[in-house]
Amino acid sequence: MRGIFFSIDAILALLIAFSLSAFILNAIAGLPDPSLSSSQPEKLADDALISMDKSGVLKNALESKSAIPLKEFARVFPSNICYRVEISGENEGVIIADENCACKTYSISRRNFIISGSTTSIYLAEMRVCYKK
Amino acid sequence: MRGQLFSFDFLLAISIILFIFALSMFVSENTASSINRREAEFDIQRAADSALSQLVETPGNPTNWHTPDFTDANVKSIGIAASRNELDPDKTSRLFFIANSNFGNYSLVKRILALDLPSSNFSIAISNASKYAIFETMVSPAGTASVHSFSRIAIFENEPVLVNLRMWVEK
Repeated sequence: MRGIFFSIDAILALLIAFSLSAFILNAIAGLPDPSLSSSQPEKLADDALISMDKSGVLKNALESKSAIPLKEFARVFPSNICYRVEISGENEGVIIADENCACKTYSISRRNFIISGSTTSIYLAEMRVCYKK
Repeated sequence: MRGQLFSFDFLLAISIILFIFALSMFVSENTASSINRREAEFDIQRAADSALSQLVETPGNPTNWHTPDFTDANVKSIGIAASRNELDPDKTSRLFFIANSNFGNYSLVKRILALDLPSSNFSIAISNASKYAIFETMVSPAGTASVHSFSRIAIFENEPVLVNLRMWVEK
């Protein structure tokens, strides 16, 4: 009788010990790997929009109604980066868009820019950037 | 009978205690080394982010840092931007000329960019959309070093370029 009682006790202790150790090991394994570049996509998205604006790429894309200037510019991105860029008008929705691949989550940057001609129009450029999986 | 029972009980208890002790030693060592590694890597990230921002977003201090002699006394910070994300060709070529001229100047550039973390080195490359390096520093990591790479996008002579900063810790 005592033997059976002791055996249940021991099994229970072992179960607790093993489940505790499994929990701890799992917690360690589950820690996210240190990401050195968590801020990188955000900065690249900002940089890309500023550079596109300053070099006239956004204006060229709008005037030619083509995504080719955007695509040409985006060749500069590191090869491990996915992007999606959109240009929208005030009341027109998305006018031009380009992307190389898709991700579940992106770092997003937006920039307003003005094109002056016979009339002045305000446009919104949006850049989404993420690491390729 | 009682002695035998006690002995088995005792052995089991001791082995469980030893197991838990060994596990906690393993966990604490692992956690400590993981935290140290992260701290070191975050230091590298902070230094690289700040150096790249300084280079790509500012003209440097003084703004004509590229014209006088390149010394600690003359140059407070190095920036190669004419305006944000727009690189100045003169400052850019001067920076790479200085960094590649001798190891003393490379170390001075490293110090002014605040990249002088213990045992670490850096390299900077500016490449165009065809991935061709227009400018690059000559120092490169040994095969064993783990290299961290950080990039920013800018315009150089109206063409997009990738400014890539690599940092590594010498083993």
